[in-house]
Amino acid sequence: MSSNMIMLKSSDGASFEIEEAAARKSKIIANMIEVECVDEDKAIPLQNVTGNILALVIEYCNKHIVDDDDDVATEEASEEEEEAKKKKVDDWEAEFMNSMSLETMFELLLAANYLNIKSLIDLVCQTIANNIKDKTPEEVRKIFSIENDFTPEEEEEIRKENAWAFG
Amino acid sequence: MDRVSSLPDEVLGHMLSFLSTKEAASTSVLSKRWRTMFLLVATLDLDYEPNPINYDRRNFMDFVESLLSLQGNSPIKKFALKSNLGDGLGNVDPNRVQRWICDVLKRGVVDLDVFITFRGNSSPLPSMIFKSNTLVKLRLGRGFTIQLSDDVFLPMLKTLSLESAYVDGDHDAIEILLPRCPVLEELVVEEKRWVHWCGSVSSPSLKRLCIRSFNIPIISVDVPNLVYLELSCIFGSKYANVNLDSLVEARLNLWVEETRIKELRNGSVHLNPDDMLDLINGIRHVRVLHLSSDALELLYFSCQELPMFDNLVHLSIESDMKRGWQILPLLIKNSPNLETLIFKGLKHYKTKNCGDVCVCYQYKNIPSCLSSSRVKVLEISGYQGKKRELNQMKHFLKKLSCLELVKIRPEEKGNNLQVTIDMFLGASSKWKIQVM
Repeated sequence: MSSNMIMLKSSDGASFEIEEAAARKSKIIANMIEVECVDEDKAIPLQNVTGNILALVIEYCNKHIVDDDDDVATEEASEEEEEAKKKKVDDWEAEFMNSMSLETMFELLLAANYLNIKSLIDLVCQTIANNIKDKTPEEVRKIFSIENDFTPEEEEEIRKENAWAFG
Repeated sequence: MDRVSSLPDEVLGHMLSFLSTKEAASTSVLSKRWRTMFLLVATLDLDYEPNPINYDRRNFMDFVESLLSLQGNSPIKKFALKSNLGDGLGNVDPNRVQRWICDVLKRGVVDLDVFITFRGNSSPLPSMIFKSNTLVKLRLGRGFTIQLSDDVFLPMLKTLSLESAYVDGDHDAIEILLPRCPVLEELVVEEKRWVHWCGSVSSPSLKRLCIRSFNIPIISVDVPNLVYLELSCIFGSKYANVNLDSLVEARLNLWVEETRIKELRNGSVHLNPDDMLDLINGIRHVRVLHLSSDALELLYFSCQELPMFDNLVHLSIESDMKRGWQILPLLIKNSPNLETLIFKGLKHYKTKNCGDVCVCYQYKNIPSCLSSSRVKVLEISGYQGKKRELNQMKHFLKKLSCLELVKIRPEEKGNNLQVTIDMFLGASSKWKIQVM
């Protein structure tokens, strides 16, 4: 694997050096590399991502740099070995997501969405979804500070409409 | 507005697809912003568990009906409909379900998983399922009858799982489907009711194959690019036309009746070695092999000689008090590159043909096949800490000269066990012991 390094610059002007292969996990960055979209410092400018969030994105991409080439690996490794490897990645991801606040998580999701990094979008979405799973609507509202703008009658109507979902 | 509610629609919709459709729909009541958000979900996972207090079947049917109609023609990725309706609850209207399936097929569904029971006779599946040019994954369970015509064609299908689906007429569904699924990579056949499957699988594209079935007289597997094979069958099939040149991993979950194994042990019945020979020769290049306890003992009675397993690095064996280890010495001897040896259960049935892998008889001055083995990792699960197991462990540790790591997964965790392991086995400079 080539270890070409490239520069990324956040919206607030922070610069980050990253391996090209890791950066290419973002479809947007991969496109920008192709068309050589760089600023005067030879860095790729990312206008919608702040430095603290970009640092997290880079941490994620560096960790997953080889994981996607697993097609070849699967044929060589047994199911058990695969499972052990997967568990290691899962543990890292759980720790990574655990370490951030909900606020950061939403910013990271927006950044992943903008940068088009599918596996990171999925990871954050899964984590948010886990916060909703097995919770009552009241609990979910509380966790995410969602304001209930329904009248009691309106709410009752929806519960009736989707009765099965509330059974 | 709060942060999660201000995420863009497509992101929220995607996030909801990580929940079951029931959970996603329950967010409709959070606030006005969330009211119809669950309709954006393109992966529908509808799992109907009957509620014993309140038979909400009608609610379920109405919910799915209205969800599909509100989604209109928007593209859909996955439609999974699972219900295990017992008798008395089972009168979900099959016509409605058929309409839903047609609807999602028209919307370009990629992954279709229908596992449903109806009361009474199974119902025919819409024939357009087998003419879809979008389906990549298809799983059909019981409840439906498969009717196959000559114009079946699934150009994108990569995974096909037929689990106790009923096949109409005297068709051999596998024989018809395989040539008409040109890119199929994974096939699961779980067959309990098919009268007309001849047990033959032939495909140049297939990479993974699981056959779980009863009573197929002859199994023929001509799948030169297969990487993974699982055979979960009752023992007694003959194997023919075995072509598994690319196989990397095999899982033989054969099983056999108690009376039959007794007859084999006392010599009143003999097996024809040719019955299994093709299969054994077909899997001899694997790197990874899993054997059920029955398969292990059956190998002994089926094979007078065992081929060399030159590529085998990972062998895992299920073991219990009812089945013997007679073949194990030869298997280990013929696997010169074995590195990882796993026992799921350490006890076995003692026979007069037990060899030098176990400690049933004392072979003090005879070298064990273990001594020349290159096994580096030994893993034992279901360890109970009985004296016999401990002796067996000591034997392994003494004889396996290349051993570096021993992993023990006790059946139940307890301090005593840890103490016994530490006291009797301990760590040494040669190997490490991990109790997991």
